[in-house]
Amino acid sequence: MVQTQLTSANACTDVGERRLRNDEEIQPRDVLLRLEGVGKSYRSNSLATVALQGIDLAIRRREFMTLIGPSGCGKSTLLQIAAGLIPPSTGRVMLNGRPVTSPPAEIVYLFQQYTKSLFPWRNVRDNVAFALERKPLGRRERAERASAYLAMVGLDEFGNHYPWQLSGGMQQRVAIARALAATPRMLLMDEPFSAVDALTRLELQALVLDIWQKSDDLTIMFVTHDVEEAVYLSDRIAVLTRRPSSISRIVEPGLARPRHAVDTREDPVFLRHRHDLLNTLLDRTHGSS
Amino acid sequence: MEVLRRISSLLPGLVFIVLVLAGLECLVRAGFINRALFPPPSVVAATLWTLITDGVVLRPLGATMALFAAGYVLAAVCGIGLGLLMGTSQTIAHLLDPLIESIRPMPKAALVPVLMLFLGFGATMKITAVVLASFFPILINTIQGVRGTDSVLIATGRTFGLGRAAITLRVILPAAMPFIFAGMRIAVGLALLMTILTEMLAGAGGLGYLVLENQRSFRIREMYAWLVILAMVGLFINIAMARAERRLVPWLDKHHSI
Repeated sequence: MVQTQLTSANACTDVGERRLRNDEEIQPRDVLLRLEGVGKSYRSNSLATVALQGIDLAIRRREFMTLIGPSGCGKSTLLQIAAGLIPPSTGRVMLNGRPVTSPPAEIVYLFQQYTKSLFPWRNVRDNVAFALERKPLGRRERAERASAYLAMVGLDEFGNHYPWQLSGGMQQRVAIARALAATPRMLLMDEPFSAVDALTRLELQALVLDIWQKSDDLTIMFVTHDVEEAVYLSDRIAVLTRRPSSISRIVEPGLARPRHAVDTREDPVFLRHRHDLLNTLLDRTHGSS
Repeated sequence: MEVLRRISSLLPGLVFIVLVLAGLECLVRAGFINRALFPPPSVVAATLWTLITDGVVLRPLGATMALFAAGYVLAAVCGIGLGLLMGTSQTIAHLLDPLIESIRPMPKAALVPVLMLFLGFGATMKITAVVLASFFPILINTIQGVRGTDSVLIATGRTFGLGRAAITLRVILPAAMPFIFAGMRIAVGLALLMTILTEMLAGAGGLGYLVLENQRSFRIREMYAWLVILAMVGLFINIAMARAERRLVPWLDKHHSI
């Protein structure tokens, strides 16, 4: 099914092999989230647009999985379907073997637009405490825990500030602290660092990798259009085609961890994967435009 | 420092008011303005001073403020409550929209005679009139604010496990607060206007009643003194609203950012 959607001959064999290998490798008990034949189409002015088509993807427990693809290919839509925020038109999402029909407690979605996702009427600590409000905690304990999560992202001194008093990178840190405070098993991150400057992006990438590695049971599904970011962060990278999007290949960079902000990016393996993925993405963009 | 700066920025305006009053005083005393219709500001000030020091002002002021507050708070509660319902539910909006849109453009003062027919001349009629006058801007702005709530904010509530009601109260309501507040500031003026009007039409001792009554009995100095008190009431309410706004929607006032 996947192969029929491919146009480039060399990508075809490549993807075919990889997909087979990936499906065989993943034991059902290792799978946390599984997308089964997920598709999404929209209807506007009697024109139906197929955004996503026949997406099969299994995300392993504790895995760092990245979705990459040209802009407008529906990466974010797919992530929102995985989060239970929007329903798929076809197929289904299974979390631990149970179908996802509404946002599950185990999953937290981190938005690209942190300025719109943080509550301007709450100070930074209370924004983080928002995630704790469905847990049976006293007022003081909630504030203490919120402060602890703020300390994890290096913002313990900014609890009393309001989000709009902080820089973009700091705001996204608050959003990360809030997401972690909900103690999710899975974090879905939608281009979380695309709106911050290059240096801040490197810092935030390191922060997320560090938190992910230190946690016992955190799975991350990450969306980006930045090839370097994808190779640097991920265990596996799923490449989406243009619309109607499906997964064309899954890449496993296999770089050593912990990764290093500078050295890893100069690793020949890193460079080869970057080269490969960039070619894939550019080919497809040119091919149909 | 902050207080000093604010006083110094207010100073030119205050000095100008004093100058205008002094000018009027001169014009009246020189005979350019009819004293019987416009007594010198100093005379009005003296009358005002005795009204205040004798404590005469308290009862009418209390009556007017009670009427205003009862009507305004009721209008705010109903307006925000119904606005949340209509903003979040298409069904309720479709049901109520035509009715609301046909009542809303009507000058509410015209409804006072009808209210008198059904509710008499007491507090119930007056409070109802004040609610009618101030309810609609709050309702309309609440609906607008609710519908304008960013979808990312709502999705954030959902990903943290909030249900429909919790999202409405804990995400949409505070997010719509700037709009709601703008509506409430418009409503304040309308509520005060209707309070004074009903007191004039069916009064028994409020500020509006006293202004009209003193004019009819040709106690012009007293009439002006009560007008000044009314002006101060309006000023006080506006200052209170501005303070409440800064406290409730601080993110609109980003001058304090670091």
